[in-house]
Amino acid sequence: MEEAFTFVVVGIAGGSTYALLALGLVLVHSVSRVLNFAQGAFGTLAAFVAASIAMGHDIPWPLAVAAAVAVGAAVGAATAVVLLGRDGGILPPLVGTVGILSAITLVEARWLGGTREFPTPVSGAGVELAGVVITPTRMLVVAVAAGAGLALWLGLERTRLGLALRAGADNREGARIVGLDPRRLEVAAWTAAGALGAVAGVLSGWTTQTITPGFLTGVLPQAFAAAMLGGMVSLPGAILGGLVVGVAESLTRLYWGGTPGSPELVVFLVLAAVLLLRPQGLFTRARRGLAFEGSESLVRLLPMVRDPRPGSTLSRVVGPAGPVVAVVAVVAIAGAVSGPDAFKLSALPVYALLALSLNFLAAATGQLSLGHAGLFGLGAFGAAVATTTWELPPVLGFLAGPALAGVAAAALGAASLRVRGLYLAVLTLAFGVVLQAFVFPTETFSQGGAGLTLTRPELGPFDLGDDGTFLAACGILLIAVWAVLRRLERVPLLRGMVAIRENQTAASARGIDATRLGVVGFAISGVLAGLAGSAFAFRQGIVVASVFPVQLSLTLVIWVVLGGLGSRAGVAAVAAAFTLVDLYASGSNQIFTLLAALAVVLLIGRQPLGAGGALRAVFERRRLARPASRPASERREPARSDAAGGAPGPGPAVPPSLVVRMSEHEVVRPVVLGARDVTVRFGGNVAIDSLSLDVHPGEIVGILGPNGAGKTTTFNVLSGFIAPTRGGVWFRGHDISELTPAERTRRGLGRSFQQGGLWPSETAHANLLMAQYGRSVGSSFGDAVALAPEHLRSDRRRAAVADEVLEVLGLGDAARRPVGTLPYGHRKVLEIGCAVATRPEVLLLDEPAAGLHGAQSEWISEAIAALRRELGITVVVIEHDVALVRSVSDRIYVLDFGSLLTAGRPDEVLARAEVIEAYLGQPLAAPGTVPS
Amino acid sequence: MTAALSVRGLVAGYDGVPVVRDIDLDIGPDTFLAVVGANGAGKTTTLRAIMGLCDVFAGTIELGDRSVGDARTSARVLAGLALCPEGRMVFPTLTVEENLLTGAIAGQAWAGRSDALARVYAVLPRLAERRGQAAGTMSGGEQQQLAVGRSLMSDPRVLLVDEASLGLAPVMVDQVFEILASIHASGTAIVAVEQNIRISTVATEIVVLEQGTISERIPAEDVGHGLHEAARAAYFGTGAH
Repeated sequence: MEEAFTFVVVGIAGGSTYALLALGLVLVHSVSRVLNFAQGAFGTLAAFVAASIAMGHDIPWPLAVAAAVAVGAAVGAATAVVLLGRDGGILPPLVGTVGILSAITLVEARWLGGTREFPTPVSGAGVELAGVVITPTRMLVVAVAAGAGLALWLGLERTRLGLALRAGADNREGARIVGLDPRRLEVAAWTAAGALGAVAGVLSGWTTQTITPGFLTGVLPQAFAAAMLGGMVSLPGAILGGLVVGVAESLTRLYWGGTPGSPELVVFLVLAAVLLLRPQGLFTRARRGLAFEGSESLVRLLPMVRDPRPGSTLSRVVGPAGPVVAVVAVVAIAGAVSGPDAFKLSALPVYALLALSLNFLAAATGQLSLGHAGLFGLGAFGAAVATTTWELPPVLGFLAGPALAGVAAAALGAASLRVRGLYLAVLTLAFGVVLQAFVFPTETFSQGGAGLTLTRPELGPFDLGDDGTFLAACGILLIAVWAVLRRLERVPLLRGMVAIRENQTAASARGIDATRLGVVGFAISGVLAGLAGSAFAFRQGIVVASVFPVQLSLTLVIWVVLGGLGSRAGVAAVAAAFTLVDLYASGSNQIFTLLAALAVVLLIGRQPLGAGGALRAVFERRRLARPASRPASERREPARSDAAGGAPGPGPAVPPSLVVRMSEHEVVRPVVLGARDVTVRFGGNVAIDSLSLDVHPGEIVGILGPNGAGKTTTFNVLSGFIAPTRGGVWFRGHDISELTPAERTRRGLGRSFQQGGLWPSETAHANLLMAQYGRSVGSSFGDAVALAPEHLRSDRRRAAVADEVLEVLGLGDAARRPVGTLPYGHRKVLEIGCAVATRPEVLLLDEPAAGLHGAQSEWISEAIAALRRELGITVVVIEHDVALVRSVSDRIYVLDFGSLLTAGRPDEVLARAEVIEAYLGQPLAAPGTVPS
Repeated sequence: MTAALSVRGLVAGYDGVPVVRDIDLDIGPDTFLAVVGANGAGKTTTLRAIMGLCDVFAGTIELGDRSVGDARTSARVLAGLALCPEGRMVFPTLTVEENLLTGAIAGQAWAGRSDALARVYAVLPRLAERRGQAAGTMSGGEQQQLAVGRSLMSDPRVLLVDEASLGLAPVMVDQVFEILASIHASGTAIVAVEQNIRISTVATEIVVLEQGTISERIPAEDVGHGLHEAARAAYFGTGAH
């Protein structure tokens, strides 16, 4: 018991370092939404500076520590100035902090003395407390940490700057409105984080008495875990989280100390449990908005989805020939280089493949893995165990690597259904740490630290034991993977994944379910990382645990971001280039590595889409300079063959004709869509109060009401995005209240959005292809990857349908441009096109004309009429443009304060005094003055 | 008399797309201008452009004799503008009093924050009762009052109010309008954007915004006459009845 108490005390001392780092992480994340990997580096640099000052110049320790804190704060501020405020979202600054971490570590190793002593300033016998001796150093550590925490708390609670920081973290837009400058707030938060890191560095140095370059990097996962326990927003939560992690680690050492990596495992398990069960953290209440921020896609990408039809004649010839030429080239190079160089160069395809696996994950799922070195290691160990321990034939052994890594990645994919964004990134980071610290050192994998050896086999006439032959084999593997990835861009499966990555709401509204696709995306990436691992194992001939460190995972992220997310060529080239530098230029002289790290810091975010993006921009410019990319005859080639299966859109292509209103008796028909007694409460507010409405087949129904009347909420209930507090929804005679939005869309209940129903980084044509995914591809795996000729044909028909819809919508010229770059009016029109492409029986249109004027707005009313006339679609439309609703609707419902105000034929309803009052407020004079 | 706020030929919008065009506004030191119009007419964009919160493509914005068209939002707050934004934008985890204090966080206003607090509590006594409560836990009407109170903390020369009536029950709407009237009476110029034309009971001038441009100006002496008709035409489509 006493022993346990001792370990608790030790844990608290260690945990206070984690707590300080976690406080810095939380501050930075709250204000900048960035995971700061340099948090520990601020501290190590400060500690090295303190040691240099105190020991070199005989300056008293307190002064040296004060100087160190100042250095930490300055470096934090400088980091914010250099990294923030650039284009490209939150990933470039994250990668930039990794670059700063590498640079600082190198500086410490080369110019600040490497490993050096860090004596504690206090000495003595210590104090005995309840039978446990607490050393003076531990007391000092806890006291200083508590003092720093208290100072931070006072600063935030009692000062003007503190109030500004809390306001900025709470609501960025609100902070701008009261006149706060977001950039200055960020610099302030990073400065404080730098100071906190410095204190953590000094305390950690006192505890261990020596400091080594980058000594806090290893505890970053623990610090992230501590911050996550506080939900990444709560400062007291971060402190408690740090102490919990510290004590848990310490107690694990006591009770399970014999197993290496067991503390890391316990931290990972705690973190995983918290993230999966309570993503908002242990110590915070759920906050609206936070989960969403954590869920967003971390990446911004170039268009990925390609037309399934073969392109120009040139590309039809070059397409298949490309890989053949590449293989010939690889074989020629392999034949030309001699032994040692061939061995060195064989690392290039291996690391390029590994980078491509992470690139695929980011591009397909929008998620970031910081544990890819772990998957790489699983691949290597999988191959080694299968070949050496189980003595499987080499080919099977080789495939065991990707199989093992694929399964592990699929498990991460399953977790991604609950945790996304930065939270998932931290989970994968911890996953990598556990693999490296706990799993790989086990007896199965490490054989008592000796590692597993394996020999390259002979395959038929080819002896892979020869380095030249092996180089050729690795090159061919890379080319094969490249070809598969290229093919993937043209099949429905990737479209579904991209749809989810880019806009999950839009994806479910178009009938695409996230569940399976997310897991598949991770699994594919895992298989690729495993392939790289297998190849690596056979290249090395021996696999040991130490070669898959977390640092490799971070390096991979750098390569992928520098190369340009989503750009295979850019990523592979950057990976190969860095590997080359590593093979030939580093070693004794680390200046080159330092320059590379600094280049990362300075370049990141300058060109948000990386090297690949820059290249692509050049090509795009050249292509746009040419008059037309495809002859019209070719675009028409597959012909208008599939009118029934497809979705020719609405619009001016059909001659405008009078809107035909249904006669009264026709309206008395079966109900195709109905809401019964629906009530929706948000907290204490009632958004909808016992609302019932009916829609009959073939009708056009308008829903009117002032702002905040509950119109969009009604649509969200009908389409399944909000579960009503009470009441139900019926569609075609079935209760659909329990169905997901995607299921409702697949049954024929489509919807459009005011805005945001599109996938902005993809082209207009790709948007229409993706919109057809849910209803047409459904659950057939064969169709999803378009393996069989008939699948390929039907997929090409979809592309033709998309062309036709674009033509009808008048968007033919915009077909190949990313939707995000289209004018607002075009996006509104395309939004309707995408909703129609799901082939709905009933279509809910949410403010289709909002923000449109004149001709565009008239076009929308024509289009709504044409939807019914030409396609037999029943339409329910929300619109603020009362004249538009009046002109197209058979019936109108008017909502006010969440309940039904009145309903009926348009002219009757709009003449009613209560409707006018709902819109304009109560009449100014006596009610008699309101003209009727 | 120099105008407190003068806007000339304003063209503004988002992502390179103009939403409002050729907006001219003159706000005197004792003006209460109501900008009414249907949804999407560009009311919010006009206010955000004046605050420097969206893209301005052309035009000038002068506060007193100083041009603020190129200044940062924080500089405009210092110069005497304040915005009570649509959707309130309060800080949900901060207390009511802390929320109010953020309104005085820019520039010299911080020194006079306790006086400002007292002033706001006098106008909005409800907030004084709730001063220790987290803003996110208050009702919509109370949050609206808080947003108004926060915008008063910098003692602005011109207060911009965006749809203060949004989502409030009719009785609360009147209450908020009366509060605006009393702020105006105490010497602050107000530009209030509204969909609810009951604002005309307290405004001194009205402009109607339609499809991004000013379609009608109703001077102080005519407020109350013909407004309902004009607004009705703007909301329900011209030619209706």
